[in-house]
Amino acid sequence: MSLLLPYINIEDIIFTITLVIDIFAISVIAVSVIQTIYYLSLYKFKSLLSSAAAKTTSISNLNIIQRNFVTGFILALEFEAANTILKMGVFTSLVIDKSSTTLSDSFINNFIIFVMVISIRIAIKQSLGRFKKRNSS
Amino acid sequence: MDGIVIVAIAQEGLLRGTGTENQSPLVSEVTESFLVPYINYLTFGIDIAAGLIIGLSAIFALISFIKILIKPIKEQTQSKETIRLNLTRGMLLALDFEIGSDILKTILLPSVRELTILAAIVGIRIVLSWSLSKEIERHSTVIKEET
Repeated sequence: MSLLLPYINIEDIIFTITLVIDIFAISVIAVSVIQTIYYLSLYKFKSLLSSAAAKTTSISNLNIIQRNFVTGFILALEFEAANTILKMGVFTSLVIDKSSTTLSDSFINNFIIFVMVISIRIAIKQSLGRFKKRNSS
Repeated sequence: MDGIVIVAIAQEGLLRGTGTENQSPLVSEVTESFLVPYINYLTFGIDIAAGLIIGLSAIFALISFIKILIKPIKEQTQSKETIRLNLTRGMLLALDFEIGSDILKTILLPSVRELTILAAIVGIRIVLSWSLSKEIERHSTVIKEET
């Protein structure tokens, strides 16, 4: 371990992990979008052919499709939140380094990203909660 | 073991030393040679562990996400919530690791400015960890009510 430590850069390892998690998040979003397009087109096609009584059941199906889409987005945001937690770990490693100029720049940028991801997550969670309440009432 | 060595060397310095001006460089030398590398290795290991926990949680979450794609859409929504909950648990564990690493790093920080930044980061982590645990609790009760 002590022999290896000078040759291992923790920032490189963590950036590789964050890159992989980014790819995961993008894949989750892509799958959710494709799935929603597929189910929506199926729903539209069915609603064109079905009667008026069957249309009320298809409205609840539309709600399920929407909920599934939003849940997929929240899952992707959770991946991004995990990513930002890892990136914050890199800053604390940089705090120990003496290069305070690079620290302040990267710290502020990544801190803004971190706050943005968390606030988007909270906003989407709130909107999903309202959506659930509206559907249940 | 390192701690015993540090205490022994410091005691030797106190016995040999003529005054306080001679003790302080020895203690700082001991700190430089033993404590700094020791804490560096320890924090390095903890950071890697936190990274691995998040990485593994993400891989498990992705595998579970792929598995649920064959299920009907209504079941998918519930399963996605469960996957998210598991990922959040992994994040929480990694955050606790990171907080532990940050606390260790405070030993090495000499200036007030760097210490303030670290305190702010630890504060953010603690708040995030608290909010995540609250979310897990809320979700667990919702899932119990639904079942």
